[in-house]
Amino acid sequence: MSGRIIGLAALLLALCACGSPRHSSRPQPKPAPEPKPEEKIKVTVKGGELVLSDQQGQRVLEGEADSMTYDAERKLGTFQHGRCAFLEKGKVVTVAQSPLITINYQSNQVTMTGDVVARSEAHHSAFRADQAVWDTKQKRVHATGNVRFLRDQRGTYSVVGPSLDADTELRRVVMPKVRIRMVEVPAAPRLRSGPKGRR
Amino acid sequence: MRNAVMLAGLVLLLAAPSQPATQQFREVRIQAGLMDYDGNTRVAHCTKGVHMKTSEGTVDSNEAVITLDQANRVIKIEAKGNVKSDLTVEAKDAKTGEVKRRLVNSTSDEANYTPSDQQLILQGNVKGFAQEVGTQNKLDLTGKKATILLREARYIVEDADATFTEEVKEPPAEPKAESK
Repeated sequence: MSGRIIGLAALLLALCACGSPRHSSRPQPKPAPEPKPEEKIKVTVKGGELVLSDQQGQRVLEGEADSMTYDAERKLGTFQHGRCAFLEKGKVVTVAQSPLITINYQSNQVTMTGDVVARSEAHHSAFRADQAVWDTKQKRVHATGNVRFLRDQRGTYSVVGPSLDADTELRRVVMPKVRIRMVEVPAAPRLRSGPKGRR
Repeated sequence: MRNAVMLAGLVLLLAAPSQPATQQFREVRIQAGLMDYDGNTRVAHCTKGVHMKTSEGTVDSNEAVITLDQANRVIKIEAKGNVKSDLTVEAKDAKTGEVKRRLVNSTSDEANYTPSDQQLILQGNVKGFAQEVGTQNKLDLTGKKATILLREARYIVEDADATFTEEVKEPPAEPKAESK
């Protein structure tokens, strides 16, 4: 019995020796690697945080959106119904919202499309527009389509025009072909502190 | 019959005692080719043709500078270059209570409008006239400076030549005795 097993093992060894390549030591030319399909990473997240930082790592924009899509190839983030704040040296200079916000993470450009509303609390200024593009590197904003710039306190200073160019703080605003309306709100009558006739 | 009076190099004051006819709502509208607003100084510089409209009328000019206060109320509007004013001012005569309307038509190099006191100051090559609506009473003037107090319908003209034309109503003719 054991002799049979030994014989079978020897036969197998012989077969293996015959099947192995004779020039196994010679290097074989490697086949060319097959081209891989292009990587297209697209991530969609429902409910997300918007963050954009400059080259020094300082945040220039932060906010939130109902949903977001990230295209890794184009480094493009698309946010639905987003609300965000533009920052300078850690301080909020302007808050803005729009049904569609696109952030280009290569150029640090933020594009808002739809009913764009932006407000600068420091300068009591605001504007509405159909589209607005923020260049966070240059700290400029360019708005187009039914632009309405507004400064509203005791007096109302509203300007309507086809486009607007401003800094992100809305401190310096330039608009062509404008219609300006200035109204002074009359002072509210003083309320009496006590009952009628009593002083 | 008309009287014509020539006045030269003096201050002319058409001081009809009057009160504002109504409390006017302060609203100013401006159309311009370009607006440059600076939030630090709260000054808007309008250029490329400016058309300003107030409750009293219109002022056209090459450019205008609007200054706002901290509460965004208009402090003043300075119109510059080929200023043309077409205004209608209303005032109530304090004695008679009659509301009179006057047309004020003028051209000048500059015009400064202050809404708080509704004053329009025309400066440089001022030419124009003020005419009472429905009458022939008219003031033609040429001078360096004219201040129009819109609320009171008063005009202060400095260093100017002015011609005041007044309509004199002839007394009604006495009825002639009927001939028998």
